[in-house]
Amino acid sequence: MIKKTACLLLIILQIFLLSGCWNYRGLNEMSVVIGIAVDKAPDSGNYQLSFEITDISTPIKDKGVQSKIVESEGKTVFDAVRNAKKRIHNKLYFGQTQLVVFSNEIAHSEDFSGVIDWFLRDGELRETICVVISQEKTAREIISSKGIGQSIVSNEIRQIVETDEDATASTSAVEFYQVFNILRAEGKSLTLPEIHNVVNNDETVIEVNGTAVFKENKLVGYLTSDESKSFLFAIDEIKGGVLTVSSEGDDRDDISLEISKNSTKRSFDFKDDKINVSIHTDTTVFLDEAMVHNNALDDKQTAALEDAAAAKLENDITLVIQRVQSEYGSDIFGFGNMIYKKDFRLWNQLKDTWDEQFIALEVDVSSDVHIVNTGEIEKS
Amino acid sequence: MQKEMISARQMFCIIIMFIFGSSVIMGVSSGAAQDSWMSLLLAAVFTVPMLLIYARIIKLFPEKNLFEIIEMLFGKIAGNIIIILMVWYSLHLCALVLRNFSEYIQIVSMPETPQLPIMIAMILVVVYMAKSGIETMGKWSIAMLSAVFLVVIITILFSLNKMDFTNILPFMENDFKSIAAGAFRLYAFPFAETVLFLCLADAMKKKDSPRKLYLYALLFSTVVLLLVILRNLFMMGPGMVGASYFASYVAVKLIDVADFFARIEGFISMNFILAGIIKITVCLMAAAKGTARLFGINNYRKLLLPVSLLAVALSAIVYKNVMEMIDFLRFYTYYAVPFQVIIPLTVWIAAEIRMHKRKLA
Amino acid sequence: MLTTIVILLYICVVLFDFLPSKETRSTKERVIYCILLTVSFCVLILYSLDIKVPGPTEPIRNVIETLFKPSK
Repeated sequence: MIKKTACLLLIILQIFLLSGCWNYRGLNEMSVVIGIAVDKAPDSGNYQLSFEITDISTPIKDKGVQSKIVESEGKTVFDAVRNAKKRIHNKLYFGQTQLVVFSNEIAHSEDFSGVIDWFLRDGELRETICVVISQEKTAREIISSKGIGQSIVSNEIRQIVETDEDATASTSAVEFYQVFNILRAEGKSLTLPEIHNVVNNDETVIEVNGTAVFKENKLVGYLTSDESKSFLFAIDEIKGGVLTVSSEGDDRDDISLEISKNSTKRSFDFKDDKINVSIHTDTTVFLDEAMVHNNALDDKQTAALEDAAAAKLENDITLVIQRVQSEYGSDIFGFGNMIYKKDFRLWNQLKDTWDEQFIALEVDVSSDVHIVNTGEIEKS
Repeated sequence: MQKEMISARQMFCIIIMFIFGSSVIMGVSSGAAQDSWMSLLLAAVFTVPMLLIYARIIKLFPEKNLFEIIEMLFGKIAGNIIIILMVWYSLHLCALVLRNFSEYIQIVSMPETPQLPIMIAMILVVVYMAKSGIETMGKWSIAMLSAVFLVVIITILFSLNKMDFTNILPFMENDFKSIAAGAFRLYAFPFAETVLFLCLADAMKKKDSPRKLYLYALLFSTVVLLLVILRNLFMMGPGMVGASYFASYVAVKLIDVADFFARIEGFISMNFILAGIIKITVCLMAAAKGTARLFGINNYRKLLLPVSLLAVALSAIVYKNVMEMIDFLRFYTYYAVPFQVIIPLTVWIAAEIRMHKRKLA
Repeated sequence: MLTTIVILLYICVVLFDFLPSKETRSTKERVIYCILLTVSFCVLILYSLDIKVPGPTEPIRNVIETLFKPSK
């Protein structure tokens, strides 16, 4: 008898237990946030957040998923996140967030590791979110512009940034957890992709525009797209992109080489209290475009072209290193980190004066370029 | 009542699951940053002599558990004091592991659910397992160990594309002292916690060699924990590993193979629950057996439920917050010494003297 | 809410674990069972009512801190 009662009671209990979680949330009760833009109100100093959320009220069938913007303001980032609840009846859901845009104003004036803290601490956000810096006046302008390929611009930005190093090599993608690591790493400074707005077919759209350079916790400047490519060569992160050279040795580049493979070897030696860093790049390219008449390349011509490309690459890399040294003084190449990883005792001696040492650092760059094919055409 | 017996293989699996318990998810914290894998190996070496002593005790008194041995060696009064200490330790450990669980679930997946219902749900499963007996537990762990192991392997394979192998450099940046300190921490949690298996030793068959069992289990679990440590380190770098409460969970969260195979961190929770259930069950069984022995009750199963509720109550009040939980690891190394080293050592010495006397006589 | 859960849990425990096996238990067993159950019940009820119950962590920590100096 007791057993039967127990079973019955258990079955009845299941009704309550299996009906859901303690605090369940249905899909209709949450707004899925895809992108977040973080700005700062100039007068009050409050954080202004804009969320790009999916709009599930319009039919998806005709136009695809549309997005809406929700804005909010608060004294801290999380305060602003919760204040959004005043404007929208649903609670924001961050499990699908793809992108966070920071305005250059915030990155310039504030401790960046403080601003990103909430994004890492909150359990709902993923650590693999893409982080970018807006070059426009506010970050909001970036996520309120139109995407060309996708109606949700945050998704599009993330995909552009993530596939960038394979195709155009104009910036270096960094995920959120890496930001945390790099800000705490020895002898390495942070770089983030930067985005600006351009006009395309009469509409404002976004474009990746090089790399933002940080020193310690603050933004100090930008590298252009071309400089970013050389930067990627220097840190061995390049996986694709185009290298243009001149066949005549003048300023007019007329030959395009597509980068197929690259490996960069970096080393240092310590002599007479001076650090010398050498960088050697070894690149395999395809000749993809020759805007001049030429015959089928023979060994000599190939070698000459390879040398010209290598010389140009060496020059470009040296220039970007020199510019970073003289203008920003921030070790974005991670030379200090290389020393730390290979010889931490030496690094402990250098650590305190690394900023000055980095500026005075001598870097030898040498490059090898190998052309392995010339596309479908033998001569033109 | 018929005595329950389990095979050597089942015992082996239970010991391994027990060692995995919370460490697979807590990511084995040692405080030595990128050198923590050395701490782990060192800790395994430290553990070997202790395990030999445990094994020797089991060998000297086959098919008896620690409480029976203690009573036999030290008599009623002194014996009871030691038994109370061991019961307290197993109960406390049970509460600590239970709390690890509920904190984990609250932080990563159910921030709005109070911890008590989670603990109760967990402990009811554990009591069911314990009531089913150690044989069931042995069979269950054989099946589930392969699942746990598979998850570890899968997460490693799928994170290969995101690993940065230079994270392990530079070697030996931490001096030997801090690596050894980390090793002692790992020695106390989780390796030497296997002292609780002395309390279940009466289920082991006489012919099985406890020494071999302990050492093989130690070897296997060290290898897997090493893989886990290295996976977390290569995935996240020392900074992030040191900063997260549940390093394994965060590391697996980063897995993303071609936007297709991602978000598999649920696997890690599964691991935690599977291995954690075994750990809590072992602690609970030890506590219940001890209590039963203390009051001269033959069947410990009758006491499982009240003892388990006591563990729930203890784990509800044991920490104020998660910071205190992580901070307590620092003190745990010292706190565990009497239970993991001093009591077994005393028992062993007393046992050897007694054996010697018997031989003479 | 929590208090309800705790009370329900203990009612279930008494109904389905304690009472059915009443005949098979000796008096000593029953007494111990009840003591253990009462202690945990009191602690859990206090906890669910948000009344602070002193935990064992603090004293353990104090003892260890006076005996040793654990490194950070």
